[in-house]
Amino acid sequence: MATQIIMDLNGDTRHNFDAKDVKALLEAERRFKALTGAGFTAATRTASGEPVVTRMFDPTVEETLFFPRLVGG
Amino acid sequence: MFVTLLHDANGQLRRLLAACLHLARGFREWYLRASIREQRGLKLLREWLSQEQLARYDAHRYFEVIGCHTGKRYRICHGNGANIIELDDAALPRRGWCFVPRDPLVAADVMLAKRLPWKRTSEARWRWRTILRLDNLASQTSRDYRCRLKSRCSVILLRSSTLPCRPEFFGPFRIGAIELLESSQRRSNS
Repeated sequence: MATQIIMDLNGDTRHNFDAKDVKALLEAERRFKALTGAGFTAATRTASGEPVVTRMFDPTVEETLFFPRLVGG
Repeated sequence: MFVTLLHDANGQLRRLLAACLHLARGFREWYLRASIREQRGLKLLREWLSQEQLARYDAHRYFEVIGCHTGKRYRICHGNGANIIELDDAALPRRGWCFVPRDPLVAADVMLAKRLPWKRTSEARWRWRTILRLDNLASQTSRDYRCRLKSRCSVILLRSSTLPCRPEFFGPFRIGAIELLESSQRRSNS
């Protein structure tokens, strides 16, 4: 089960989906594009656990984290 | 009989005080508890930190990251803003950074967002240019420090031992205070 984690005011919101389910996968891809289009940055983890920023939706990724754009304080 | 009454009253007063104390302690624990959203944020942060970073965070409430573009080391302290310190080669604070997520988040989420490698967005590029510009100003001036407050930029470059404060991050209010200090020194010198 893959997970998309979105940081928000409540800590985070998680959306789980089955990567083998085409409908769920399409929905996840739509969410990915909507969030990144809205200014969120998506990050995944490599096999070693190191986070990397990703720009493209990858259906094989187990966990994707979305955080809001960083701006000057 | 009077002594007996006094004794009873004393006992009741003690019980009342003990009950009040118990209630006050309960209220304090309730007030100081981490909210559910903060707990969620902390859980997420802990999941995404490396072992070394996690150990450092547990011990000191900060962790360190290395910039993916510059290779510089940064210390991210617990908090929502003004919590990034650039370290020099000797791991001493060199410069403070302040950038925050556009949307309001709990402290742990903010720290995690800053821990993740971020591509320089237009805002970040703007800030970078500002830093460089301030660097140039500092190198061109005879003063050994320079600071500037901008509406969206609260960064100070420290190059001085003459300031009555240690090198650390300065929020906008402190920067404003240093600007005042600088102008007052200028007036006294003239």
